[in-house]
Amino acid sequence: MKDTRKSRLKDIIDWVVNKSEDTYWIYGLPGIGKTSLAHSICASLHNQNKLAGAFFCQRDDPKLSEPRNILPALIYKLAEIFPPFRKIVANRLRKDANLTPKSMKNSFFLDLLDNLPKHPNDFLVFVIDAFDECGDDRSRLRL
Amino acid sequence: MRRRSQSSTPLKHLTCAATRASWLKIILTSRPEADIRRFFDGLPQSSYLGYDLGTDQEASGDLRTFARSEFELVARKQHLSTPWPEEWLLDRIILRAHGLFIFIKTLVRALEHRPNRTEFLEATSEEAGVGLKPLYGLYSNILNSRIVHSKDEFQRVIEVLLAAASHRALCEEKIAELTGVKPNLVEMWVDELSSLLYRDEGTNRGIRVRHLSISEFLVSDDYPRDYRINRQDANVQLGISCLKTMVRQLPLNISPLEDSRLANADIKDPPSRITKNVPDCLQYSCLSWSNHLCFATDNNDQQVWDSLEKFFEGSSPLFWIEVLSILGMVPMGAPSIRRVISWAKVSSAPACISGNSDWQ
Repeated sequence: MKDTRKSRLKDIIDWVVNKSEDTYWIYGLPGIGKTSLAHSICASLHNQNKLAGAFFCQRDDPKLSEPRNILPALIYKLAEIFPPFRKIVANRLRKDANLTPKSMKNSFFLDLLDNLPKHPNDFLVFVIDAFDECGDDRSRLRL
Repeated sequence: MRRRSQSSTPLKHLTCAATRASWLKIILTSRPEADIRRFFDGLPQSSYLGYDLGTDQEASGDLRTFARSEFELVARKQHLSTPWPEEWLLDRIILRAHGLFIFIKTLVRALEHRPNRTEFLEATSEEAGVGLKPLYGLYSNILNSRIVHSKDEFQRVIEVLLAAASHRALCEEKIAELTGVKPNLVEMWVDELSSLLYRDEGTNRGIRVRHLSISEFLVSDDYPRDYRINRQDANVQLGISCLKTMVRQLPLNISPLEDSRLANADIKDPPSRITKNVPDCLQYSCLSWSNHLCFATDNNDQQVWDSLEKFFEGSSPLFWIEVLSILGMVPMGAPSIRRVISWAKVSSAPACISGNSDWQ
């Protein structure tokens, strides 16, 4: 909601530009407003052209609760906004047209980054919301 | 725990990527689950920043701003004299909410179509406890005030709703068909419980819970109430319903093809054939029965064996494969059967079954 978590949001956006850590983990009880904050973060980053991609996990959606779907979705989003990355993804897919999230090697994303000829001029951020809702609900003893 | 480690795999690669590419950063939100916490504990402290949203100093003020604006909307809509609720009552509600925005959001939704709004707010504000207890208390109040009759049928409906959720949200007609509960009763409950449930337009009006904490409340052992859903029983019962649906509804040549020698590629307009000839409930049953049936960790349930026997003794398995073929889902067939075989091989198989070589 507008006008809530204002200073938290500002801190997070400042962190993107000024701090040395690579990852920001925001945690809290169910219903405390994590998803709402994640939406605000995405909107703010998008306005500043810093959003590389977002994945909102959802326990009761088979696609959004599958861990294997996170990386391909984020790779797709980054390819959309950053042409040099798009080019190497397209080349890679041309070589292996049958590539699926299932057959994708774990190092796929890292290999793509290593082959990137040039870096973006500014920071780019991936946002993953409700990561605990991804994975097998059976192993978590929930419906 | 197999998939638990899988779920941390994308996280490992993302954090690794962010370390390698200095221009890339990751923002992750989650509950403070033990495995996620362990993952971050294993990273160098200089590589990540952890923040407990519960310690946000501004949260209480934000929650009040949010609650005031939500209650103002209710007051305006219902022509109540403002400020509504009065400050003392708002204070108590904020205290009870314990920093949880979902508490206020659910409470506001529950006020819709309710004549005695202030009384309901007062009763809710008296709910004591910390953590999730007041939220679960609110869920319990809503259920108890809305579900007065037919509690057994309601329990069956909720069981199917929750068990099906991770595969596909089912609409009220399908839930009614699979539970044997009258469709108008299911429809009425979904309307009455609109603060907890909603019809998802994106999945053909499948019924979903509004927040994951509602499913967790319904399966939790921590809170005394009339309904307690056992996830294993819920899945097994839904699996049996799926088998019964298939035995009842699977005919020879379901599509119906003029010539059974036709290859799938030569069939005209498969989507309209599916819509016209394979009812949605049957589709769901054909795709999900083994997931539900084999959810149980043991195989002592005679009901399950009886249902399986009934399914496999006739022509239903062949007709099932035909439906999978029409749906383009034949690759699901073998894993489904393998799942049932693994389940049947669990050592505690009842004596009457363990001698049956067909199941071994």
